Order: sequence, then C-alpha cells, then structure tokens
Amino acid sequence: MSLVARVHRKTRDLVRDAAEDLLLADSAPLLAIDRAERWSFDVAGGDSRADVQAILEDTTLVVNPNVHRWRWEEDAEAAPRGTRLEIEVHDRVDALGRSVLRAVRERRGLRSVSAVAHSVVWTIDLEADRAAAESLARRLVGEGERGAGALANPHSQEIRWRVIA
Amino acid sequence: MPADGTKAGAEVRRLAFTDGSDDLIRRQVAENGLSFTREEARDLARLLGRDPTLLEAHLFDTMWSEHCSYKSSKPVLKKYLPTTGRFVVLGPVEDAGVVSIGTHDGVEWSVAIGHESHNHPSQVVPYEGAATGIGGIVRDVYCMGADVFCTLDSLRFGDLDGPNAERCREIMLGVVEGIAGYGNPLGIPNLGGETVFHPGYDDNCLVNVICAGVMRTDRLVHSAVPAEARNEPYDLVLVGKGTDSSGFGGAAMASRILDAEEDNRSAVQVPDPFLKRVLRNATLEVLEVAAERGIAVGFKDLGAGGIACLSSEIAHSGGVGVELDLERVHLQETGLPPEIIACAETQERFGWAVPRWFAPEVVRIYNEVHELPKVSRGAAATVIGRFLPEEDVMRVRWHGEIVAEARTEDITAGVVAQRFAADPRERVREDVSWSGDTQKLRTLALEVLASPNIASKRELYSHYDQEVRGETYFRPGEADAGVSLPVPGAPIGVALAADGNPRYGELDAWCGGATAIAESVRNVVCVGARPRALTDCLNFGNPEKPEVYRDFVDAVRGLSDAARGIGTLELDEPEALPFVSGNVSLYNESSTGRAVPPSPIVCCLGVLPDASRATSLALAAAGDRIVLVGERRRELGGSEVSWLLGQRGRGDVPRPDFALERRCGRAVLALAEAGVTRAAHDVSAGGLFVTLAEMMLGGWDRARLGLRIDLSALPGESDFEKLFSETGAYVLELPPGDLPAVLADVPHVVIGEVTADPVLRVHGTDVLEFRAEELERAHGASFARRME
Amino acid sequence: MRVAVVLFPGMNCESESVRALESVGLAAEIVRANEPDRLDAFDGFLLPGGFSYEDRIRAGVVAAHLPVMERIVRAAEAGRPVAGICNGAQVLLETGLVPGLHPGRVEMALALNDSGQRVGYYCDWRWLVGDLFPEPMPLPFAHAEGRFVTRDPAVERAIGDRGLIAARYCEPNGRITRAWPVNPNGAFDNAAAIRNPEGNVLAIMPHPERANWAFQVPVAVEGEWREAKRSGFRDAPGPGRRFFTAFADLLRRAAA
Repeated sequence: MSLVARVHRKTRDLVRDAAEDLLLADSAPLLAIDRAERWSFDVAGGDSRADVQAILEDTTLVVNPNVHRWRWEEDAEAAPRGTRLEIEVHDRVDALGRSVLRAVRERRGLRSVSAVAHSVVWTIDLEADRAAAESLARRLVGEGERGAGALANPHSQEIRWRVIA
Repeated sequence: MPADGTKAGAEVRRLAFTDGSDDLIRRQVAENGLSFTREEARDLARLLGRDPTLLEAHLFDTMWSEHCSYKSSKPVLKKYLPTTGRFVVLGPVEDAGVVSIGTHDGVEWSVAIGHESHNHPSQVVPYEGAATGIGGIVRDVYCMGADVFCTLDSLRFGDLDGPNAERCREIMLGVVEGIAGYGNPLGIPNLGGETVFHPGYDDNCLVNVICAGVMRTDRLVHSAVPAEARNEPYDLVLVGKGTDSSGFGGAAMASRILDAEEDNRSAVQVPDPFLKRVLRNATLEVLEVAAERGIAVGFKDLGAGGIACLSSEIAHSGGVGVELDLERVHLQETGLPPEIIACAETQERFGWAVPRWFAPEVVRIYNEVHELPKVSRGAAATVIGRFLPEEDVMRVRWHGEIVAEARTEDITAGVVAQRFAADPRERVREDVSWSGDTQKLRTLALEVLASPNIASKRELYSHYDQEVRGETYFRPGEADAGVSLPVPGAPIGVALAADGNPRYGELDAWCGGATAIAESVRNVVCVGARPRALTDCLNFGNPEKPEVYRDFVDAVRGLSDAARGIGTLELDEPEALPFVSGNVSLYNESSTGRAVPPSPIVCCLGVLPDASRATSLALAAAGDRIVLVGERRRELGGSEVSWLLGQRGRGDVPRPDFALERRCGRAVLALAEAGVTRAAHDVSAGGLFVTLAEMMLGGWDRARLGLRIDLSALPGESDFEKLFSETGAYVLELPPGDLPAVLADVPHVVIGEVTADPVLRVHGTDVLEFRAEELERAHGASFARRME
Repeated sequence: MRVAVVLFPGMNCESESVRALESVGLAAEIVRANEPDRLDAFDGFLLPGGFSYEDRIRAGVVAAHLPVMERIVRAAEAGRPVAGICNGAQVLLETGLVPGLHPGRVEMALALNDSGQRVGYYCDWRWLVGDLFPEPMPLPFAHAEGRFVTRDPAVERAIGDRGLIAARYCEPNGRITRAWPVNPNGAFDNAAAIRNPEGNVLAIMPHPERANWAFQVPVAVEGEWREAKRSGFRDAPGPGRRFFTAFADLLRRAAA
C-alpha cells in the first residue's frame, strides 16, 4: 500500500513564482499554477498510517513546520478553474527519497516503510481547450524544439502528465 | 482603510507595567511572548515614565536580552580583553572589527572580520539555523563596506557513539548542509575551522561562524548616521527581503534555555542566499558610487530587533534622532501588526543612512539596475524614514499615529546583570596511566588517529565550495590555517585559524581559554603568517549559576593572559594581540540543566606579506630534517588518549608558557619568511604522533613520503607520553645541512628525517612502524563513514 | 577581442572569470542579463558558474528560457564562441546549444551527481584529458548537478562518433577509468566538457578559472604545481590556463 502526502510551502514559494514567470513569458493562457512536493511511502502493517503521519509531523525529514504544510493526497484540493493540467516530475536519481527512507528505516527503526519516493507535482489551470493544454504539456516537459522543457528535462527525469477537463 | 487591511486610528495598545500587579505583569509578559523579568518590566515603565506600547515592549525586550545587551558578560569582557593595537583600524564596537593587512600599489587594505554563534537555532532546526548563521555574519561584514571573501566554522556536536548518537548525527548533517546551502550559492569559499565532538553537546550543538571581508581601508563605512546629517536632510533606506513575521522574538530565544525544541521553531528565520548575492552586487555598486562621489553614508545590517533596533542604533551612533513611517515598509505578507513589522528578524535586509537627494539613486540601483523586486518577489529598497538632527528620540509612526517613542540613548544603553562566581573548581589529581606493550601502543596510536575529533574532515569540507572567487591558497586541512589572497593583484595572504578544546575547558576553564589562543597563534605561524588580531566566541551555560559564571570569568582571563603574554609577534616591543570582534552565547543548556562544557572558541587572523612563502603541513622532500620547536611536558589532561583509555578527567591540562610561545613563534615565523621551512604543523590534540602522521598524509590522506623518527632525544618517561602528550609545540621540515641560527634561541630537538618510502617509523624504547595505507585508512576513511 | 561574461542573478564566479580571460590577453567585461542590448558588441561570451535564479525548478533552466538567451543563441549560430562553466554549462544544455546536434532541442541533461559512491554536491579536484587538455591537467569542480546524461542512444552515439567530448575525467597519468573515484559524478563516458559539432560552443563542469594560476592548486596535487606555487607572487600559470588560451584561439579563428 502507498500512502501519499503533498507538501506545500507556507511561505512564498519562489520556485512556483519562477515557473509562473516562465509560463507567462511564453504566453501560456495561465489561470493558476501550484507546486507541491509529493511524498509517497510504501508501507505494510497495522499502524502504518500512524507511522507515516509521525514521520511527517514528529520529524523534520519531510515537513519543516517552519516553512511547510502538508495534507494527504486524497484529501480535497482546490477545484479546477478552466482546464486543469497536472504534471508530475520525478528525478531518476531520487536522492531525497533515498535519504528519507534510510533515515526512517535505519535510524528510526520504522521497518514498516519499504520505499519512499519524492516528486514534484505542478497543477496548472489554463484558459484553453484540451488539445491546447496537451500541446502545452508536451512543450513544458521538453518535447519539441527551442524553448521546450521549462518544467522538466526528460533526460534526467521521469514525467507523468494528464489533462483534467 | 489602508491596502494591507489593518485599521489605522485604532487605540495604541499599552502594557500595564506601571501599576499592574506582579501577576498581571507576568501574564502580559507571557501572553505577548516577552522575556522580561518582573523587575525589568517595572524598570521599563520607569524609564519611559509611562506604560510602554506593545511595540516598545518588544523592542526593549530584545535590547535587554542577553543576546543584545551582553548584560552578564559585558563587565568581564571590558575588564580583561585587550582591544587596541598598531594594526587595529576598528575594534569591537560595530558589527565587525577591522584590521590593516598592508599596502599594495600605494593603497592600504584591511580585513573586516566578525565572529558569531547560531547555537540555539541550529539545535532546533539545523539546516535553517546554520544557514542563517552564515547569513547573519556575512551581513555584519558587508555592512562595514567590505566584500566577504571567506567563512570558517567552529562546530561542536554531541557524542556520535553515545546514547543520543542518532540525533547528534542528524544535527551534524543538517548543520553541514545548512552551511553549504548558504555559503555555496552566496559564492563565499569555506576556509576551514574545526569540528569537535563531546557528550556535553548532546543537547546543545554549537555553530560558531567566522567571516572575513576585504576592503580599502579608506572605504570603511560606519554603522552610524554620518555627521553631515546635522546639516542636510538624511533618509533611512531599507533594502532587502520583504519583512515577514519570521524570527519574531529570535534574540529572546537565543537567551533562553532550550525547552522542548519544537516550541522554538517559529522563531527561526528563513535563509535566502540567492537574494543575498544580488543584494551584495547592488550594495557594492552603491558603495562604489558613494565613495567615488564623496557622499557620506551610514550602513548597517538588520539582525536582532529588526527595523526598530537598526534605526535606534544607527541614529544613536550618529548623535541624531530618527522617525519611521512603518506603513512604508515593504512586506512579504499582508496584515502584519506594527510591532512585528518593527521587530521581526526577517533575513537579508540592510539599512542605509543617505542624503535625501541621493536616496532615489540608491533605490534605483537596487530596484531597477539589479531588479530586486523581480529576482525575489517582495524584495525591494524603500525609503522608510528620516533622521532628526535636533532630537535624540526614535519615533515610530503607523499611519501617522505614534506607536513608539523613546530616547535612542535609553533604547541602546542596555542593562547590566550582576552575576556571582563560585569557588574554584576541585581537580582530580590522578594522572593518566598506561601499561600496554608495543603492539598495544601501536593499536592505540591508530585509534587516536581514527577518533572523530582527530580524523580527517575532508569529507565534510567537500560539501562546501572552498575555491569560489579563485583566491584560495590553502584549503581546509591543507595547512594549519586557511589562506586566501583577497587583494586583487596583490601577493598579500590572509591566514585564519579557529581553535578551542572543550576537553581542556571542562577541566580548567582558564587553560581552555589560554590554549585556544596559543594554538590559534601557532596555527597561523605554521603557515608563515604574522598573527595580527583575534576574535572570540564564548559559549557557556546559564550565567545565573555560579559555577557557570566562574568558568566564564576564568576562560576570559585565560584569553586575556594569553593575548597579552604572547603578544603581536612581529612587533619587537610586546603589544597585546587585540580582540577585534567577539560574541557571547550563554544559556547553552538543556531543560534538564545540562550545560555545554566551557567553550571559548577563538580565531586568529594572520597576514603574509608574500603568500608564496606560505607553508603547508605536507612533507616536501626525502632527506629533509624534522625538528621539534618548543618544550615537552607530561600534559595528558583532556587528551585524546585519556578519553580513549577511559581516563577522562585525569592528568594535567596543557598550560601554555606565554613567554616561550612568543619566542618560539617569532623563530618559526622568521624561518618561514626566509623561505627556509618546507612544511610545518603544530602539536595539539592527539599529540606528536598525530602531528607526524598528518604531515605524512599531506592533507589529502595520501602519503607519498615517510618519516624516520627517533624519540630518544625528547624528554619524557615513556614512548606513550612522548607520542600522546598534548603540550603545544611546532614540528618543522627543514632542508638538510646546518640548522638555522635562529633556532639557537629556542628549545628545539632534531627528531628525525623524511624518507622516500611512505612508512612512519618511530624509534623509542621499541620500534613502531605504520604503513601508509594503515594511516590513510585510520585518518582518512574513519570519519567519512559517519557522513554517509 | 572582447568577451562578455554574462551575469544572470545568482551566478557568482564572474570576477575570477574576468581575471582569467584577461590573463590570456582578452578584454573581458561583466554584462548583466538585464542589459541585452550591450551584448551585440562582443566577440565571444562566457557564462560563469554559480546558482542562476537559485537553481529554481532545476539548475540553469530559468536563465535558459529568458529572452536574453536568444541573443546568445543567435551569436552562437553566427559562429561566435560561447563557453559555459559549471552553472553556465547547465544553462547551455537547457538552451539546447550543447551538444547542439539539433540546435534548440534539449538533447541532454546535467543530472544530479551519482557516482555510486556519492550523490549530490561535491567539491574536489580531478584530472582531465582530451583535446581541450592534451596533457592531463588537474582541475577543481564544485557542483551538485554535473552528470552529463542523455536518454537518447542516438545522441550518445553521435557525441562519441563526432568527438564532441572535449575533456574526460582521468587518472593523473591520463588513463580513463570509468569507476569512482576517477569519475566523480557518474557522467557518461567520463564526460567533463562537451562541445557542439561546429566547435564554437562548449560546456565544461570543472572550473578552469579556479586553476588558472599555480597558487590556486592544492599542495597535495601531484606534479610541478607545488614548486610553481612557491616560485613567487601570483603570476605563475596553473593547469586551467590551457582552457582560456584555447578559448582565445577560438575567438581569433572566429574573427578571422
């Protein structure tokens, strides 16, 4: 079973701001853009939800309460405005996931966690139809010629995207 | 209603400190997150002649904290520490001290240096705590008008093999990442420092940071409104990150004992080294314009107490008053009340005092030329107030209404707290004992080399950029001090070494202070630099406890005695080595009452007129002679070997003989400057064995040459004592032939020679042999494993 | 010959880069990214190291997508030399100028270091060899994302076939062994520097400007550097000088 948390910055997210600037400069029909870190924990056993919650709340490995807030992925998120595009970007070398897994298993002895994966999820609301959103998505993840790849580089990252009409 | 949604014209809130009952005062202090004692609250009301506003209460709460007022330590520091000298341009009166380093092409250059601690925040949130520690100290140096060229860190962590090993390791890794995460993007090389482990730091790590900047001496900028402000209008320009609520109450936190670590997290600031880099570029441009056009300016960084503290201090130092329009302050978040805007400790901000006609140009350089608001949303330069030539008050307005008004003298004067020292500490008189055979001695030697305090920290330093700016001459670990060539085009080298051994300090605080000075001077002399100035950071527990306060006073006396006794070596007439910057960090104590061991940490700044004479610790050529300069005594108290043998607490702590240190230092310096010395390394923690092994390993734990050492000419009862006693001394590699005449005046012994085969052979009552790979593994790989 | 050291906010190696360019007789000036109109007057461009835009989103990408880079792209297409060091190299890859088999297309990444031994930021020295450094030379590097990688086998093949790797990590004797510690970051084929097929655009991860003088070389590095370091003052050239003389040659050839 996987338990997934999404982590946002409480304070201004300058990475989100940078992406917004790039999209606007590229004349994307942008309504809203959101960036979240996605932490997926593979777990087994009775108290695993409590274990993951403890990792999120009792340690600063994933969530630093000074700068972050978090929620379970399945909990409600803001309703889409226009056409919603969701892009998930995962570094092939997942150093953050690796180090959290190690910290959790070896140093905190939480054997119920068998894998941790970190990625970034971009939620982009567009004033555009599905086809236009799909073509923008391909451009943002590095397909095509000059100016592609603002949000991901396919040579080092795994990318999943979908359009939610 | 103003755009930020706050209501103007609302009643200004005041705290009933004048007539309130003790209970009411306590409640108001607690409810508002203040730290005043009852007496201090009443003192404040008396000082103002009325109840303080909420903003005033927060401002004075910060100004009267230990962190800002040095209320426990100031009388001691004033009484003992020398602060003046031939090379001192500016002593410890502003944010950083300034020391002359020489003349190049007819221009005199100086180094501005600061030394700070960020202990509590680093214990609570290691990454942010350490990163903002770097962020704070570099601001102190930038605001003198200097360009920062390096930092060093003295780190103290808990026992990596003790009951709190996991937490200690996490803190260590977080702190290292935090230092890297700030210094690397800012573009400042790390030149070293030291890392020491001790169970006394299990609940309170220490993160002390030293930062140095370079400037033309005539470009020194003071943290004061210039005298010109009496004759023409001057404005206050706030530059940098938009103010938010981060770090609100941070200074008060630094002066409190750590309770539950979680409760303090919100007082930790958020670092932004990227913005700082842009700020630095813009600031250097403003300084350049001001210098070229002869415009008198004042410049100061924002730290504890935020805008309110900056305004009152820069005004008071200039003998003028100041009036602020708080609603003009650019913000990162909306809806902040005036006391937070005035007192929050948001990072990455500076304040300028500039002529009113020049202010628009300053704003333009930040906002348009360097596009502050564009590179970091919410950041900007804004005129937020004006200086008052006729008055000596700070008046703070919020949409026109006065929310604080007090004399700048009263705000900045601080307070003094009377503390009491306990009787001298009782010492165990038992000595360290050893009864093993040769094989066991050999094993012990390798264990010493592999212990976390001795082993190579190269792995740790590889997380830091050590070479950005292209001026680095010696990286951390390459020599006894880090060396940089910060003056453009000039051969002038600046050497920096930080030292402090808590194992000495906990047995004898005076020795802890004195040996720290002696060792840092020796380190600087080893690279061939002339020691010119000292900085210190004094890390102790709760000074209200007489035992802690006694140790504090003893340590300061040790610093003072050593600085005066050793003196500035390059001057024939003895003159005390001056302390030009310093910091005191008290209340390094957990809620269970466990205080850190007395931890005076010092940094010595040295100058090489010609850096090509600099000597590293790496052996250079087979056939060279190895000479020990200095004395040997049986001083195993607090030694590495005493801890490994489970005899912690026994033995005599090394006590430097200052007159001897001075003579030896001058002789070693003369040899280096004559270009005779091939390599040099001091004897300190771990003893002579570690010194020799490290010279062989050459800084990168790769031995290409070896050593044949004869212990018989050294005084001492046993090989054990000769190898591991920690009496300070120098070990030099000198070319074959006659010994230089200068050595005739100082105690010295030829103890061996450099060999072509990479083996360390020690001839004592028996023969000990160490192959290169054994030494490399023990010294090179043992610590690296702990960082994985 | 005039070289613009193009400074994006957050880059931090501009001053030493200027000094290194000047040491081979070039006139170098820092030009901020928000003064694009100044760029046309220069014969060549150097993008220095640092952390442009704080590595937001990923290293180099924000700078690569700014309009000012279009000027650099046009200059490169016109044959003017462009070099990127460290963060500058990351910008050139994200712009699609390197390897530039299909100019404008992102054909590679400089990914997070993963040598098998170490992941992430790493500052140390390694030896380099290749047509940029015919004699093996020690150079420092300091990066978290310095692993040249492509998922496209055709790109990898073309880089090899057309000899676009200008420098490889090697042993002090020049032998190229793939394993740690010789290859510090796991880059494919030990690549430390890659150029475009036309040869006028080059991306290098190590820092030649931090080894442009002998005084900058650590004592522990084998060879003549330790003696040179003590030979007096700060003028003795270091192992990185070769990079800047090569860049100066490139400028002269482009101008001819």
